[in-house]
Amino acid sequence: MSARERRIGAETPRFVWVGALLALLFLMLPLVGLLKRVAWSGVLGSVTSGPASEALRLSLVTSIFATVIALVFGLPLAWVLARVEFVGRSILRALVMLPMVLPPVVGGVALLSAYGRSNGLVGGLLYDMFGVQLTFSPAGVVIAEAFVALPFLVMSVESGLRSIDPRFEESAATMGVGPVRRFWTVTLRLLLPSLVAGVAVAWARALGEFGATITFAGNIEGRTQTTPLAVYLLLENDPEAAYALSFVLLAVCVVVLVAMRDRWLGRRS
Amino acid sequence: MSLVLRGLVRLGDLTIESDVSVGNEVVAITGANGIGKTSLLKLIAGLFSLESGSLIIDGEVLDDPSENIFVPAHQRKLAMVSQFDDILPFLTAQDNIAFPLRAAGMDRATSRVRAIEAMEKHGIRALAQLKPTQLSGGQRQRVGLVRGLIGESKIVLLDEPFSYLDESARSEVRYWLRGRLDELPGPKFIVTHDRQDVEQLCDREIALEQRPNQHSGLRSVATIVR
Amino acid sequence: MVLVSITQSSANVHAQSEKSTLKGDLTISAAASLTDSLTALVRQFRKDNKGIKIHLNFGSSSTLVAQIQSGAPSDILASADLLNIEKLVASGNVVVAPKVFARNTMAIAVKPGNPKSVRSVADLASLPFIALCGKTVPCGVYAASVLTRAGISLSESKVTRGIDVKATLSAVANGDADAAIVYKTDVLAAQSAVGGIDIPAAQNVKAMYGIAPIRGSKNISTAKAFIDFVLSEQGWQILKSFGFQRP
Repeated sequence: MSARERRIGAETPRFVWVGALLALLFLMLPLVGLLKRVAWSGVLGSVTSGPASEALRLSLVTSIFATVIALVFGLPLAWVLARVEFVGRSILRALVMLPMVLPPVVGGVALLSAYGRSNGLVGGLLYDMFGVQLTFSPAGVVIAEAFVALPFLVMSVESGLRSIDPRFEESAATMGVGPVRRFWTVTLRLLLPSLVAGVAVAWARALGEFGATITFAGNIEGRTQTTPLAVYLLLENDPEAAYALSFVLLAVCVVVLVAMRDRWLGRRS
Repeated sequence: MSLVLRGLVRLGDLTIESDVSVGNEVVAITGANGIGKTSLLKLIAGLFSLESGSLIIDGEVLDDPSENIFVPAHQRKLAMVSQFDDILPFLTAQDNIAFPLRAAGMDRATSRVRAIEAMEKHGIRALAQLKPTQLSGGQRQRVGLVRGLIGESKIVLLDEPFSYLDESARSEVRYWLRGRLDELPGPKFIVTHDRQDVEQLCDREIALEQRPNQHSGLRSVATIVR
Repeated sequence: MVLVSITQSSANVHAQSEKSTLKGDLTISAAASLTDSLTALVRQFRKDNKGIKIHLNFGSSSTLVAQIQSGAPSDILASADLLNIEKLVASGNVVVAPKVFARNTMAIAVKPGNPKSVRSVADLASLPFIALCGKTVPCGVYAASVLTRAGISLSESKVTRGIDVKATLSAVANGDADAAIVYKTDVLAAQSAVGGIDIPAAQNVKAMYGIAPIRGSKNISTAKAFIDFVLSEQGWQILKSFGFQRP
């Protein structure tokens, strides 16, 4: 055994191995099952044509927009939750996490009650004053996806902010770096692993969203029928296409997440 | 007098009272563990403020709660080297040392040249391209020291700057430090446990001692003893 | 007179003892449009057969068929069309002849008060968004027939497809769709949440609802007993009260 292996903590008890293996099996078996069902010869064909390719394109575009929104608004929110002390902060934090525990369809209903043209608190106004209808539109898809993805980003970034040792920022302050510059040059750099992880999770969540999307943005081919919706409908009349589409989505996710992991997530030499 | 600190600050269970004034000299801060030496440094640095009293440096009031005056740390021209390793983990040693110069507005190329020069003077040129994770504790501390003293600062605050160094390195660095400190204007404070540091580096000494307390908690008083 | 009474009461006793021996669990997969009516049927059935627990699984008939073909343990399928139940016959999941137990027609659901003044199928073409069931869901197939018979073709970019008829209706009741083509029984069930516009017989379809026990059911005699109940006069009265028509 090398010196490295003899470090405390390098000896893993057997039951931990067993637990980890079981967890891995639990997760991997369905994926292996899915891969077995894909008719490899037809994959590219069923995915590059018609509704399937539309759904893929829509999913990729909307999930990216949704992730950007989650980042732009989630970062400040995470900051306030992590760094600013105020009365009711823990309640606010719990509320922000709500979309995570809400059943997605219920989330969709909630979105309708706020942004729906017919009954929404704000949606009616938006329509009357600006002619903007968010439901049944790609923008609506982005909103539904951002709604479910934002809490994941906030959670990851907030925990990252809390775990940053204040001594780095303090030292930067003593070196004459003002608060804003400190954030960009020190805090953000230290936060990067949590930030990237948060973005990755948020994006994956946005990509896979079904219940809120179908309820709020509807299911319109080419406009709001994202990949999960398309797969669900294809499953009945063209299962081959459904498996192929699922596989492509899976592959895209894996490629992106693996690529990000190597480059960004805590590379310690 | 360059620095006058008269006042009180409460940090949790610890209360620090101070009535000191020093000139442009090297001042040792001594006292038992946990008595508040680092906190005193941080107070002068402006990482937090007094509860009552005032801190005046070179005639300028930096901290006076009764007048609602508080100049934050990044606006005080100071240099602080912490007791703990706070070298930025994502920059090389050279870029770490260049960091305060960049913050002051210097361009990257010039700041890197200055950093190399400083590293050369201090004898750690070889560490330039290494990342902090590749350096030993003592090496990181020396990088931190060079970084802390590279700019033109009005006040210098060093917190146990040799704690990770062995005896021979200590004397070498002590020698370099005396030279560098002499070049700098303004008051310079060194927190230390080592009497040799006090003898060889310092013109003056502030001691923190525990005094009886009517309330609960530790009451620490800073006074000039030398 | 005495003889007659005895025969009658013995018949009752016979029927009584037959019913009370039925025990166990039944899982019924049923089309979403049967949500209220089937729940009522089950409630009545259980009054007379207290030993039976019934689990209802509602969804679009096409989804239910896919589930059963994948091995979902269901005892009965009640489908909104005969096409889907025939699929199960073809795949061997149903081995007795399906029975038609009800008939339905389509109607247009609109927002309460009909703000867009929809009078006919033709008016649907001028609305910004309408809701229809998925293309392979029975109610979506029926809706397509209605549109064809009315000579109307709608751009897919204006149509939001619900995964079953209840979701489709919800797009009008709770969402921003201005109209939907759903079953008449669903419009009735939704009461004041939506308004209803009838579709004339010339454009409308006859939706035939079929029911059959699934092969491999662990409770085949109870399943058959329930199907008999649905097909009985008492069962028909319940279906009629929800707006279904006699097949």
